[in-house]
Amino acid sequence: MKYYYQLQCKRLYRSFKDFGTEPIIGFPIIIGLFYWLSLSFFNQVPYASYVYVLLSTVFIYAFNTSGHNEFIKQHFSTSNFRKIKLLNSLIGVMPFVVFSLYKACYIEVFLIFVLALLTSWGRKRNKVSLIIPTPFNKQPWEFIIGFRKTFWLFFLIYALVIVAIVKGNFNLGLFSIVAIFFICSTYYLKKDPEFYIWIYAMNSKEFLKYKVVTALWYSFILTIPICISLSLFYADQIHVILLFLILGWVYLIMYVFMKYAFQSQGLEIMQGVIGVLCILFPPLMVITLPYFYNKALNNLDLLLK
Amino acid sequence: MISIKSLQKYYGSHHVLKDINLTFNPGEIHGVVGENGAGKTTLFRSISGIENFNGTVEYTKGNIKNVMGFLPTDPDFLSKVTGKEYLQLLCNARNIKVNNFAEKNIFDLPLQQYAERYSTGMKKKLAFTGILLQDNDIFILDEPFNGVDIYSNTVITEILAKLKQLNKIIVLSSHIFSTLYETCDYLHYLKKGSIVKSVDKTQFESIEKEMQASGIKVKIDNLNLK
Repeated sequence: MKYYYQLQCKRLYRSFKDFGTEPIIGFPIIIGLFYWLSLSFFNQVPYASYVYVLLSTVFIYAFNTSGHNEFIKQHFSTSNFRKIKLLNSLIGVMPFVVFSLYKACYIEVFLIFVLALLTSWGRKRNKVSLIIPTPFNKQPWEFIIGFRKTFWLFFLIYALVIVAIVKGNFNLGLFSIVAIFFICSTYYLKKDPEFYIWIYAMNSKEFLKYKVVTALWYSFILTIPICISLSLFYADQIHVILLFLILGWVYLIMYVFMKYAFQSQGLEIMQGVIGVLCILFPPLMVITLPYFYNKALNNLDLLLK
Repeated sequence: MISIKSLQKYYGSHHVLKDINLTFNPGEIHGVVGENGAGKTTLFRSISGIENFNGTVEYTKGNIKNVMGFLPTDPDFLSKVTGKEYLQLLCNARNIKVNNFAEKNIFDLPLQQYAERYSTGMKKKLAFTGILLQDNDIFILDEPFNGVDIYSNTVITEILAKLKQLNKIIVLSSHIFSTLYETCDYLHYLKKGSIVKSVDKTQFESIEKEMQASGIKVKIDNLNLK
């Protein structure tokens, strides 16, 4: 068991290295980021302390993969397997416990521990094999994968549009367009296996163009119901809707370029940070777009000779 | 024809492939054998252009990458993509239109299920079907028989014979000598990154014996099995 945890430390250390930073720098950054996010969460969300309890459980549940559990179960004795599961859950919720203590939420801390205990007892099911139909079968890649993981969010977003129309809240409608593009951008966070780039009989420029056209067309399919509905009820605001649509496309194009610009590193966090900055300050994309485009071409040239 | 000249590959200071010189002609099936870690996969990835290397790989008919089907040892499948969608993706990559994938499903795979949930053998068969649909001229097959059931092994052997007849270039690796005897015209023995022996069909046995004699008994004794 001791070696198992030594190995987990080594894995964590290597993750920082892969990310391109020394653990001594990366670790304080993560702690600072967690503190800032938690603080913002407590300041802005109603009943934050209780939602925070649920977040801690979701966090450990997400990391509690069935494959890893099976591995531990196979190779450790039953008692050690239970101990490791419990310990993993407790380590996972520790940042939430510390912050809740800082906020003097003692009952919530107790709840976090109880839920962590229950989660460690529970058995996570293997991934479901339900095939979710999508309109993206012709180009089965980012959108088909992403949509199948996030389809439930679209029900919420389309419901928001109805609320925006019924309640006469145009800004809520615009928020729905932003939300769609934000979700679509997350489809481009994961690095492609080299093989899936290499198979293309295209040069780097053709490949990027193909990727951009697919992204634009498929995001159009997802946003068009919102744009039409909003245009019908807010005809005088069509120019604003169009502006948001175009900005959303530019944002998505940047993510396509970023995916291949970071192909060799797979920097998901860095992509996320740049993405948030560009949402807050869209003119930044004038710099980021050509930069990531050139970087993406250089990386793709290695595989698409 | 593919000509490999002075191919060398380093991972840092580790010299993985040492001065590889090989020639593959259309209508020939070449087998590459060697122990685990000898460099077979690296050699295949270098020929395909996925890995950078020193030396040259020349193909007489133009850009080798665009007419090559590469079957990896352990095919990697994207999550939440069905077998049919995987085949569609591979065909899209080469701009090939296939109207009826069910018709091309030679291994009777459950194409409507997620490919990541397939068994090892099914994954291999799906990946193999994919590169067959791409109308490639060159096939690099890293352990095509590994994990595949006996019936499918026979199907793969028959497909290889058909590809040979169609004048395709085929290079494969396998640890099962019976399949190599059955399919290959030439065999190359890769040892610690170097081709130590290349023989035609009449001399396959010499490589098999050489591999078997490489101190197996001593290694098992060293295990001290109790």
